[in-house]
Amino acid sequence: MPNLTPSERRTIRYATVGLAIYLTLFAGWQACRWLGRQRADYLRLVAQGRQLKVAVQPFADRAAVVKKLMDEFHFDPAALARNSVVADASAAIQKAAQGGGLQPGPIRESAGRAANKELATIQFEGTGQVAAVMGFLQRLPTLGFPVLVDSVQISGDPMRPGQMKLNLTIKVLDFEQWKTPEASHA
Amino acid sequence: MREWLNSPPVFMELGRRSLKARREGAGLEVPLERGADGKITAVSRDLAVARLQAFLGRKRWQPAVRAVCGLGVQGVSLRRMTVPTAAKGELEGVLRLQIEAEFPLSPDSLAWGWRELADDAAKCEVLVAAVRREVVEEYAALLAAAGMNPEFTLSALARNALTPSPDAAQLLLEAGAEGLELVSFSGGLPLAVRVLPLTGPVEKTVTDLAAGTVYLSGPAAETISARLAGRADCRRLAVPDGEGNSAATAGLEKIVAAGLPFLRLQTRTEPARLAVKFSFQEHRPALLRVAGLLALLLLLPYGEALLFRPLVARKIAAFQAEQARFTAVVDPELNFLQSLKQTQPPYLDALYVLAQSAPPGLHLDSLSLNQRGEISLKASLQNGQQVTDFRTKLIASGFFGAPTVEEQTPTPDRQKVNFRMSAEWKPAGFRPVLKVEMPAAGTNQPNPNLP
Repeated sequence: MPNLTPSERRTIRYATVGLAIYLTLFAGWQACRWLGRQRADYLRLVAQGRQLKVAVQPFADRAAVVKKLMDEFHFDPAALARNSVVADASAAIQKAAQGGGLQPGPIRESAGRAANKELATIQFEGTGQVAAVMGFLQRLPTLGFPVLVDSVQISGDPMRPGQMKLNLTIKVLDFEQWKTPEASHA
Repeated sequence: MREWLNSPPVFMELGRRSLKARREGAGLEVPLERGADGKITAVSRDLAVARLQAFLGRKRWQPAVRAVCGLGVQGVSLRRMTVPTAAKGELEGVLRLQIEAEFPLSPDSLAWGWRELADDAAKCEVLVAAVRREVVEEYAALLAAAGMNPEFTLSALARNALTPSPDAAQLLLEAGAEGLELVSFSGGLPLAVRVLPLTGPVEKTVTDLAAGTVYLSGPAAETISARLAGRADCRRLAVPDGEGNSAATAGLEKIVAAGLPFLRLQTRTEPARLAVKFSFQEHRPALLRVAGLLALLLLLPYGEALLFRPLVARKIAAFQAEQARFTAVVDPELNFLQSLKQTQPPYLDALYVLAQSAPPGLHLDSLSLNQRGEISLKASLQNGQQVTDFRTKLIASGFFGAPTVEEQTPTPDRQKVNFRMSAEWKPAGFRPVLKVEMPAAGTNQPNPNLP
């Protein structure tokens, strides 16, 4: 290594110091920008979290409404088996009729219209006293199945005074069709 | 950084004819010319300032360089004083009073300093050194002009620090071109001072003062050593060669390097306690704490972002997944159940209103209701007025909208009127909420109006 004069040494020293300052400032600037980006991302995430918090606040109310309705109708739609819901509903209707003092007559089942989100239609005929008919009509929605009484026909029985003939058209609804987005907004 | 800003000190020996300076191995000797009044001439002063500035190489923005200066003993008075023990802050005031009493000049006209020799409960023994204030101020002005911050002490004290055992009883003899300085030491402190011409009776004085080894220094040390041969144990102080080197500068360098206390000669124009001085070393812990807190304050938001960003991102992702799952499960159920509830036809309500509105004697043949709210009724009553009343009551109930008697036919025997009526219940929200009155227990009898 050649011997350097004091002037050359001083020049090299100044150049080294200048280069070090430049590199420090450059690296510091880059580090500041990187840290600034990290903080901006973090603040954006925090704001997003706050928005989510506001958005999910009504969820508790919706869950409470669902629970109340399920308690009212005595069934959970998600727990229904699509294949057996018609058979189970028909059996429950007959059992409720008999249990309420209503004598079941002919029962006819037919496939429902998919456009109306129906699984099946049940035609039920029965005979009984006024109290039995009223009680049966009252119990129908709470049997634990998604049934909807489409029509009711009541007529007197000329052969048995005090008895009434009841003819019901009951629709069994298809919950599966409500899971699609367009059905939800129907 | 501190070393860069606070450059190393300069060690100087200030004589009447010259000044010597040493700094980091480099040295300088500058002659001083004095006028008839004994003061340094302006030309000599400017020359000395210029040479000192070149020697220091100090930039304008750099702080003043500390200069530790040794003065010759000529004109210096040394006194041992015993004063009552006072609080540390009050000792200076007590000494001022004592100096006022014992010295021919007032303390304000002197540059003086002291060192405590002994201290007990009642009294305090102090060594006081004093010199005329003008002597010190002349040097101080010159050194300040050269960019230095001078502190003054006695060169003899610095030379004593160079001896092998500074606390021993010994005599220091500086043989300079201007004359001889003899200072006897005991316990590291000067006992007596003599200033003689080079040709003066040094042998007798040494014999009078010497209580031990005589240490010689200065350019005429060889000559004096020869004169004292056989009279005393003479030894030369080891001083390295080079410009600006002397026993005093070497001793000062040794004292400062070892951090030993030394007697400072100070002018008391202004009380020292009024001077505002900031010492980085003294406030270093507090400054470091403040700097740390500031750095923490600045970096904390960024540290928070770096530390918590992944955590928040994971939480939000989990939250969004839960939200999607909830929406997929609960929303269809809610819509389905709400639709089921809203579409439940009010059959029982309609039957209740019909039963409440029916006049006595109504014979119901058939009744038909459907989900769309259409009602068709076939029955018989005793006369047409009852049919009208029945319809009026149905209208008054507010439950049905415009009941229509489609057909009304008297029987051939005129005992009854057969009629067929149709109606439609109002949509939810437009029909009244019914208040059902429950029959009392045991009165669950069939309605006589119904077949």
